[in-house]
Amino acid sequence: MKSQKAEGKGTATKKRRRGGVFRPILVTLKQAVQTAPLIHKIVPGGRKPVTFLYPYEKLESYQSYRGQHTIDWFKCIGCELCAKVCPNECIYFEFIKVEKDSPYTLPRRNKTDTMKGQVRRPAVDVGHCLFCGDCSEFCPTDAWMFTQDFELADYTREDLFYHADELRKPDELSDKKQVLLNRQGDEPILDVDVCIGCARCDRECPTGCISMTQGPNLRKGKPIQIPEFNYTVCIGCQQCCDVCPVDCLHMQETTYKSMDQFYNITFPGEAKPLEEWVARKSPRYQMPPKR
Amino acid sequence: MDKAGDGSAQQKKGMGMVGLNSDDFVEWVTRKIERPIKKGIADPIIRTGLVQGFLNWAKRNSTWPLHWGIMCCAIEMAATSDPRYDVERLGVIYRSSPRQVDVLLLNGPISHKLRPMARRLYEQIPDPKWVIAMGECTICGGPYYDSYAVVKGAYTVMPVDIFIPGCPVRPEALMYGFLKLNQKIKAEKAGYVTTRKGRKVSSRDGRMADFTGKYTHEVPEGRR
Repeated sequence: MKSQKAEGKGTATKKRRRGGVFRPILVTLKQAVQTAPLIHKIVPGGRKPVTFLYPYEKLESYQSYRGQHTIDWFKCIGCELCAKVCPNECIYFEFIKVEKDSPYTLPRRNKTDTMKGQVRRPAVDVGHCLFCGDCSEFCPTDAWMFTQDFELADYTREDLFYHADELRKPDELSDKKQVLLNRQGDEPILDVDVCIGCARCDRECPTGCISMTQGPNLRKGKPIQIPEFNYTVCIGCQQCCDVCPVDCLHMQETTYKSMDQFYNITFPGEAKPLEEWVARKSPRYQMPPKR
Repeated sequence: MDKAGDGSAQQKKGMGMVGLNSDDFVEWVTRKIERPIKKGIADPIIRTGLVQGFLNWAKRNSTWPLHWGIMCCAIEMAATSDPRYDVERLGVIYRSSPRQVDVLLLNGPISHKLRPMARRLYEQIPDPKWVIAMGECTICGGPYYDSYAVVKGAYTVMPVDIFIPGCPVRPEALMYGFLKLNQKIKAEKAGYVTTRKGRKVSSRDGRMADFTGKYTHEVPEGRR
């Protein structure tokens, strides 16, 4: 104490607190009065209690919060890009038999699925999911969404595997606007000398951007057919590279394309990069001038 | 010598209750408490209605977890006990010793080096005990699912009662997990609980898998 006093001579003196042992009790009582229901409106310094009673009242989480997954079956085209970008490999695809005039066949699907009368839709192992949101970010048709539902706790491990049918978004909630965007930024390049012309890529392409044309090289005395890509429709899903039996396809990063080359199924010419959509809404942010 | 020996025997008989010796105390507990409980209380009304119900109420409203942080979900565990999400309302008080604890709250990937310690902690907890696997690392290895050093799921080491997915788990989600555990203890007499999908599973024991067992659905080979 002596040394403190000696030091404190020159500096500003500390305010002495009164109450001693009873001070904590008084502070607690003051808090109790200040945060009591109905009284806190009258008492000076009154405020609502900080604690919110969870099971009875819930906080409104942000719209971008990633909870339970939902998939819009009207928009999904089964390109399996989400399963490829998933860092945990927790997404797997299920094949579902559908009738010919089912609404889920309306967007696009690959030719093998059309022949077999089925669609493929993603299913998730929620117990293994990282909730990073890459699947919804890379989805070329905006079919992936996340709800704000975080109450996923369960008694067993088996019930954390969610099938495709359980993750389906209710049909009333979907706006049914079909968009195709190449968010991956890659497009397939063909090595013509290796291609054997089996047309498996044509059958597996979900957007139908491949058309088989006569190639230059000869096999067995006649020219073989090689795929030709329509890069305005291509979404860079790598499905053709995956099925190719001789590895004649590889993905290459696209150079900058002007946005009118992109393809929009329902509203042609309305496809825009994400930054421009953001810039439209926020007045603070301004796009840099185009060169 | 004889006199002294007689005297000690008389002393023991005369005391009848608790001596300072710990062996005497153990004897007294076995004679007075453990045997009657094992034998069963005669009156069915008292046994089922009062004792069982009361014990169940006490158990489910004081699920004390072990204050043991493995990795980043431990930060959320700490956030659950702050004034905003006051988890002590639900009777969840963190304790530092496994002897004073009912719930083993696992929050993080269990490496092979940690596995025997986790198992020992589980065995040190006295008997009505439950395990909560919090976060995907504990459920199935999470992002370390193909690591050589991480156990693929806590349920290969010890029976797990509640699985809480999330990365990291939200504080409210952890509270929801504790409420689920509350329901599970409440349904001990009924014997089953219904999961989120509507399946009925046992409410008396947790889930345990063998080391060779499946912990994920097989990923199609083309995607590896």
